[in-house]
Amino acid sequence: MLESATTSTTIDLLWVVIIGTGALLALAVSLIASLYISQRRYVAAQQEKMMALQESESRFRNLVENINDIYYICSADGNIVYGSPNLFSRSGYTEVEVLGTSYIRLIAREDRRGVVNHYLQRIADGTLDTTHEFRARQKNGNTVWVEQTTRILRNQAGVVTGFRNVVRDITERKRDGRILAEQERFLRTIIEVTPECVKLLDADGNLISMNPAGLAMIEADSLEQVSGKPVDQLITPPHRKQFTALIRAVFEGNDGTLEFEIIGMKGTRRWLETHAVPLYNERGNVVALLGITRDTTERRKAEEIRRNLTKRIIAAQESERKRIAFELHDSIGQLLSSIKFRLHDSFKRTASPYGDRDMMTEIDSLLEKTIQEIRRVSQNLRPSVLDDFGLPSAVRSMCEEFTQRTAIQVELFIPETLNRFTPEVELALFRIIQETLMNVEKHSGATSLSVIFEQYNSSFRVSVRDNGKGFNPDLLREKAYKMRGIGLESIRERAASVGASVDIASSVGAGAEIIIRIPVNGASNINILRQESHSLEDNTQ
Amino acid sequence: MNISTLFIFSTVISLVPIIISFLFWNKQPKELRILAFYLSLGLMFSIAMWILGSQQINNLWMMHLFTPIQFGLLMWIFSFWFEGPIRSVALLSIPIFTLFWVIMLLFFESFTQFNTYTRPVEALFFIVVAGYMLYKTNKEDAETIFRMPRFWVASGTLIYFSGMILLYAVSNNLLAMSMETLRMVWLTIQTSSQIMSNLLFIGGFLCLSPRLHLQQ
Repeated sequence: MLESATTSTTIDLLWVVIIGTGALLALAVSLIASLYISQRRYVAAQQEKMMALQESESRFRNLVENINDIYYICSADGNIVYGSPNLFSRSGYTEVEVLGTSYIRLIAREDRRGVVNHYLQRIADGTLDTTHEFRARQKNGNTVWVEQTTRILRNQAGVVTGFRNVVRDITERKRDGRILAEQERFLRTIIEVTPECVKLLDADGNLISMNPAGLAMIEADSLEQVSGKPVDQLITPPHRKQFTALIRAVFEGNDGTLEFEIIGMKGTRRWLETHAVPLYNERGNVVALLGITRDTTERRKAEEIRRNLTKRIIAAQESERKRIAFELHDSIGQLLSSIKFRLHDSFKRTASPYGDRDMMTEIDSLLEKTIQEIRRVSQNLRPSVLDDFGLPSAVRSMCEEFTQRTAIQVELFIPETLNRFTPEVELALFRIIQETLMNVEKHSGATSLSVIFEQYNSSFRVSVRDNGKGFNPDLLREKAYKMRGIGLESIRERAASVGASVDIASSVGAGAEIIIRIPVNGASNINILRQESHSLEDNTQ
Repeated sequence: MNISTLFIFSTVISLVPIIISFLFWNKQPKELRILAFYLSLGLMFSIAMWILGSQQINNLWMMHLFTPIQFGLLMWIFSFWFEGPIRSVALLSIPIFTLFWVIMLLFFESFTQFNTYTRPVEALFFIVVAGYMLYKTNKEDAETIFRMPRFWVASGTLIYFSGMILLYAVSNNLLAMSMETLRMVWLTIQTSSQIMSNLLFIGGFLCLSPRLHLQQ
C-alpha cells in the first residue's frame, strides 16, 4: 500500500516537473517568439523606411548633381565635407584638393575678410539663413561673382554644427547690373544737365522728383524743400484748373501739353510750357506723370514785342491808308469832280459840232469812272462805313461789292445781337475777311462762299468757307508756297496782334475754311473751344 | 533517441558556438569571449559529470562547484549590457550569491545531494535578468535586435533556466524516489534546454557577422 502511494507520488511529481517545465519553456519560447515576430515587422518597416530614405536620397543627390548651382556642406569649423559635382567642375579643383579643406580657399583673396566677418556676425546673431555676394576664385586664378545662400545648422543648444551652402554664379548679372548702372548714370547726367525741367508728379500733383534745372525754374533751393508738396500752388490761379485737368488726363494714359504761368518761390513770374506723359510700371499702371517743361518767358516776351511791333506797323499802315484815302477822296476826288463840272460848263458855253459833243461825253464818262475808282480805292484803303457804322455794316458792304465785282455768291450771317469790339479788333477782322475774300477770288475758283459770325459767352468766331478747289494745308508751311502771295501769314499776324487765333481747314477738291477766334474778356482758347462744343450740343438738342 | 544519443547530440551542439567563437575570437567583444569561456567550462563539467555518473560515482559536488562559477560568469556577461546602478547591482550580486552559496552549502545543502536552494534561486535570478534584458533590448528600438548579441544570449539564458528551474527544485525528491527516473528526466530536460539555448547562443556569435547583416 505504502509502495503504491510512493509510486503514485513519484509519478505526480514527475508530471508536475514535466508539465511545469514545459509550461515555463513554452512561456519563454512564446516571449522570444513574440519578440522575434515584432522585430521582423520592425525590420521590415525599417527596411521600407530605409528604401524610402535611399530613394529620397537618390532623388536629392540627382537634384543636387544636376542643378546648375553648386551645393556644398561645411563642418562647423568651415571645412568642406561634401560638394556637388559642379563644385569641382566650376572651381577646377579635384575632390581630393577640396574635401576636408577650408571653404575660404575658394574665395577671392580680397573678399575673404568680408566673407568671414559676414558669417561670424550671422553666427553671433543667431541667423538661420543668410545670403552673401562675393568673388570666388577658380584654380586657374580667374574670379567669378557668386551669390552664396547658407543655412547655418545648429543643434538644440544653438551651437553651430555645420553649413549648407548653395552657390550661384552671378557674374552675368553683375555685368548687366554694371551696364544698367552706367546707363542710369548716363541718363541721370542728361537729366541733371539738361536746361529743361524734368519732373515726376504723383496723381495728386505732388512733386516726386525734379532735376536742378526745374528747381531753378521754381526758385527752390533743394529738392527736399519741394518734394512731396503740390506744385499747383506755384501756378497762377487762371491756369490751375487746366493743370489739374492735364494731370488727370495723363493718369488716364494720355499725353498733354500746356502753357501756364507760375510764380516762383521767390516771387518771379515765369511762363512755362510743359509736355506731360504717363510713366508706367512693369504691370502697365501709370505711377507718375513725367513732365518736360521749358521756360517760355523769353519767347513770350519776344512774341509780345513782335506782336506790338506788328500792331504798330499795322496801325501806322492803317493810319497812312486812312490819310491816303482821305487825300484821294477829299482832295483828288474833289478836284476831279471840280474838273468834271467845269468841263461840263465850258462845253455848254462853247457849243460845238456834234463831233466835239461825242468827245465831251467820252471825257465825262472817263472822269466819272476815275472818280468811282478813286472812291473804291479810298473805300478799300479805309472803309468809312467801318468807322461810322461798325463791322457788320462794313462786312456786308464789302460782300455786296465783292459779289458785284466777282459774281461769287456770298452767304452772310451776322447775329443781330453782335457786340461791338474795339476799333482795332474790328479793323483787324475786317482786314482778315477782306484778305480772305481776295484769296478766294484769286486762287479758289469758288462759285460761292459763306461768312458766318458766331457770338459765344466768352468768345467770338468768324468763319469763311468756300466751295473752291481747296489746297493742302501742309504746303502752307513751305516757304515757296507763302511766296505765291496767298497772304495767310499776314492774316495770322494780324489776328495775333489782337489776340485772335486762326485755324485753316482744307483739302484738295473740298474747298477751304478759315476760322478766326477771338477771346472775349481775356478767356483762353481752351475755354472758347469748350463753349463752342456746348453751343453745338445745345443746337443739336 | 536514447539518453546517451541525446547527450552526445547536445554535446556536439554545445561545441558549435564554442568553435564559432574561436573562429571569430579577435573580432568579438569581450562579453562574447566570456560567454565562449563559460560554454567551454560548462561543456567540460558536463562531460566530467557524465563520465563520473556513468561509473556510478557521485558527481553532484561538481554541480555545486559549477553553480557560483556559472552565476559569476553569466552575471559578468550581462553586466556589460547594463548601465549605471543596475550594472553595479549586477556585479555586486556575484559576491552576494557566492556568499549565499557558501552559507547554503555549509548549513542547508550537501555536496552529495542536489543543491536545491542555490540552483533554483540562481535560475529564478537569471530568468528575471534575461527577461528584463529582452524587454530593455526591445524597448531601445535603436536598431534591429537580431544584430545584438545580448538578445540571443538573453534568449538562450531564459530558455535554459526556464527549463531547469523546476528540475533544480525537485531533483532531490526525484532522486529519493528513483535514480533511473531522475537520470531520464534530468538528462531529457537538461539536454533539451541546453540544445535550445546553445542554438540561440550560436545566433549571438553570428549576429555580428557582416554577411549576416547583409542578409538582414
